[in-house]
Amino acid sequence: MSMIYVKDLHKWYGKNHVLRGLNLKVKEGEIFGLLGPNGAGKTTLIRILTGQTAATHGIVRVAKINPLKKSVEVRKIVGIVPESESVPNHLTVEEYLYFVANVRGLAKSVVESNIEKYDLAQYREVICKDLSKGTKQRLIFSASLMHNPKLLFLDEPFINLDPIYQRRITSILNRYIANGNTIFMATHILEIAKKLCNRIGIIKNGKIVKIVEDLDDLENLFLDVVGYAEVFPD
Amino acid sequence: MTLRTCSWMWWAMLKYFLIEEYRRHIAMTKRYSLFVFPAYVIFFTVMGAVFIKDVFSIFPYNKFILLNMISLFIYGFGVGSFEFLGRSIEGYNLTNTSSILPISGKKIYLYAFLRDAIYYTILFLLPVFAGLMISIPLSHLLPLQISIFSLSLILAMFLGYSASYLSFSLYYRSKIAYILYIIIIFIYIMLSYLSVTTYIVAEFQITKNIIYLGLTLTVIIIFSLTAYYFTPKEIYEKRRTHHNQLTRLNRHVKKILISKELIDVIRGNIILKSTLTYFLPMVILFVFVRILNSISSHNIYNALSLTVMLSIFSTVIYSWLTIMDDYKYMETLPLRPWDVIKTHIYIHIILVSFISIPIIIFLNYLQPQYLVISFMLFYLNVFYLISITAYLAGYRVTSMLFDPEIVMKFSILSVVPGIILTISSINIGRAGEIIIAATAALMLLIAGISIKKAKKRWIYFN
Repeated sequence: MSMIYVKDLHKWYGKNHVLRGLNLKVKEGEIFGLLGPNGAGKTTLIRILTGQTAATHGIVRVAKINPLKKSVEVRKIVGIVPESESVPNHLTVEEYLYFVANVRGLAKSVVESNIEKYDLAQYREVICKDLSKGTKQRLIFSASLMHNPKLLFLDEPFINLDPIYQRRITSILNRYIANGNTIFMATHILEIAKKLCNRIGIIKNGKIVKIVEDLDDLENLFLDVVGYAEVFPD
Repeated sequence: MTLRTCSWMWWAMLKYFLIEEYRRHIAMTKRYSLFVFPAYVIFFTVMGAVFIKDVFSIFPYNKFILLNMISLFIYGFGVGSFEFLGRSIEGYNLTNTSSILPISGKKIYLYAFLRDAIYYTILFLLPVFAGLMISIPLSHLLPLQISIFSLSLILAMFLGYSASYLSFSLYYRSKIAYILYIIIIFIYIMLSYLSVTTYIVAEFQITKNIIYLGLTLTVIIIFSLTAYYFTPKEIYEKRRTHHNQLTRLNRHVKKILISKELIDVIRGNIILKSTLTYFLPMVILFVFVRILNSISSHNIYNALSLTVMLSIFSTVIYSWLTIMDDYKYMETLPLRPWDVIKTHIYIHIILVSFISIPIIIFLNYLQPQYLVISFMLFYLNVFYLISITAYLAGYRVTSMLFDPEIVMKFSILSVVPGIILTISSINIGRAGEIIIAATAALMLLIAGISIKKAKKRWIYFN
């Protein structure tokens, strides 16, 4: 079963044609990586798939739901770790997790288990805005996985985490996948993509130009597709 | 460092502050729209100048000048307060660079003060000057008169900016000193309105006495230097901690978004900010009415018309509500902007009631027969204005302030019924009652349509 289905997707921001007829299928239970240089359209694609922005043209289905029409329904069943580390201005860690649990209709007990699981106990009463970047990222991870979504969207998820928490989060994600869930991850870090993903789509200029299943030679394939000159201009 | 290098660096930094402010504005609107605003100002200034003699026939020159100068002071003070005290919502900008560049917080905020003073003078007062000059063939004003008047306007606004700059620096030193300072400013403005004390800028314009010009400049410099002195070298936001109040509050409220927004209201000091930007202007407005009544042979305004004005001013509170939080994180949750807008409407009505009910009762003390209808008109206009604001500006009202298209639509939709209600309620009779009822019905209809359209319009948070 396709968890994500995209056909001929276009997105214009003013005069900027960001996505140019993108096609994609992601199967249930896989970790699909979207690899591409900055500005290739990775974040825009995730925003469309999660109903955060509209598409200009194309067909999109996420778990058989059309996010262009039913954005809230999609966000009920998926988890999202966005690129920007946006958290509330005035809520504490505990209050934010309680807020998320309440919006998602979950029991209050999940707040405690998440605080423990993501090592947030010492920050329980700290205002989210005042946390360090890494702690904010853990909090965002915690909020996004709180409802055990069957599909998780990650946009540059490891960028603010130190190596210790990168490993801890990786092991949480591995357990999450072992339960038959799906991950769609956008990144521009080849190592992380190679370590975590089953399949990788390389995106360039708003199109997926190659799907890689054998990840051993990912670096060379990426250089071939993106262009050696673009990666090493000198 | 040579004097030349030093002055070049000052100018370069100030230039970037000005460029940033310009780009911040055009990010919220279309590029051409920013220039439509000065065009509006020029147009209304020309219209005002043409009819200035008619205004003076019913309104004494001295009072007119006093009101203009005090209004500009309040405008300058208000713009500064939003900029300085509302800075937590801004995210990364040049005022945050003191933490990563070898430049002190003192200098950064001095630049911010100069930026506001220059930028808003160009955006607002330069068109006033241009409008007055254009009006010469029709208004027969003299260029010298216009120049002195424009200078007075600039000074009044600079006085407001420098006063708000000082309030900001005191805010970071001592909350008690800050509140005392605000009270002193407020009392001084009130006494000036009542002509008990001399309002120096207005006195300069009225008497053309250069001593008042010197006094005003001295006060601006003293305010600015004191503010510079008191601004901390580095403004660290302390790591704030709180016990879990949301869970407890939501046990009673049962609506998580409302509970969350109420927490934001408390922790974001919205009560204090609303008092400064809503309650104080209200008191000033009523003193203004007292002045009008004292110079008129009969009562110009009654409780009903004042209530309508009260409701118009209340939109200030709504704009504070929309900048309390960074709503971007809500994109990842099953929520729509409309959920946030709806919550803001509820909270707005709660807050406005909390502040306004005593004022409405006070206003109706002498005319108790209007109390019920005053409340009805008040809530009608509050609901109407918030509905059209929600439709036009969504969950972020700041975008509305610099978009002339939205300002134009909002002005027409808010001013026209406001004027009809105000005029009809001045000398209320049978005809007045029918006009009020018909206007109220129309406003309810427009409010309903606005709410319905807002639901469909605000689908995405970006």
